[in-house]
Amino acid sequence: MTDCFEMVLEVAEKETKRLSPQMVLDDEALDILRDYCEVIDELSEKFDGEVFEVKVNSDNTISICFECDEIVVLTTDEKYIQLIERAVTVGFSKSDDETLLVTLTFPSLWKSKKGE
Amino acid sequence: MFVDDEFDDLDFEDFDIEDTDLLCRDYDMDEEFLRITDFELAFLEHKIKKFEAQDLKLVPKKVRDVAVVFNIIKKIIKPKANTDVSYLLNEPFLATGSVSITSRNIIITNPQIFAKLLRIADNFEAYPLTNGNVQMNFGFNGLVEPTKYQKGDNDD
Repeated sequence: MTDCFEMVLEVAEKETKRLSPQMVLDDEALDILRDYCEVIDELSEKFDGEVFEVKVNSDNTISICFECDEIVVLTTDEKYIQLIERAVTVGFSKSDDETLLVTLTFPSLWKSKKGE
Repeated sequence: MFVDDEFDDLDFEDFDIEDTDLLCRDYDMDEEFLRITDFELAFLEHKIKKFEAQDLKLVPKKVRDVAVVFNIIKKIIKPKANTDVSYLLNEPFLATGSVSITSRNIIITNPQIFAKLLRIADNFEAYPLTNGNVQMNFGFNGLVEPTKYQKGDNDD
């Protein structure tokens, strides 16, 4: 199983090259996303799923999609609720493999280069 | 679901679902999210009256929770078309209820409000359906309680 943050790093590295030199990777934002990834890994593991895709959108937000059969949570699981709270959008859809796809989109990891 | 029988005379009395100031304070949300339609009020009151005849009462706070989640989730999902939002009270058990959303692809456009709805509900589930849609359910417990002393309770 691929670690969520490993996938983020791989995608972020490519995108940072593409956006350079106008924009640079925001290390603080990346650190925050690392924490989110830990919870996403935990969530996907809890429901026997895995992180399916990480992609950068046209507005530079970053979407992390994981798939699992279903999600059933008590709403006292504050950690998961806080993860959702920090997303820009949350999506639920069905994959071709009949599984549930959950897509969490988070703010951009890039900022304008200083002075520009 | 929504339409049951003909509604009787409407009287909401201690059921404060219309008090948006109170709702805003209780649920920490802006008023725009908390408006309840007259039809929904009528439906809830109709339910309450039916239970009164069975020496049971709906717990206003819990029923209000269901109504608030039902109303707000409609405002923070897209697409609006081809998305079905419904609620059940007292099913599958008298004391339980749920708000369900089914669609091909559900996008939550305001995760901060969505998180508040999760905290209002007792549980949450999401799963794929065989018809290509996905379904999300907010579950609620404790919707009904006895109105009178029950024989066997505190007999000593």
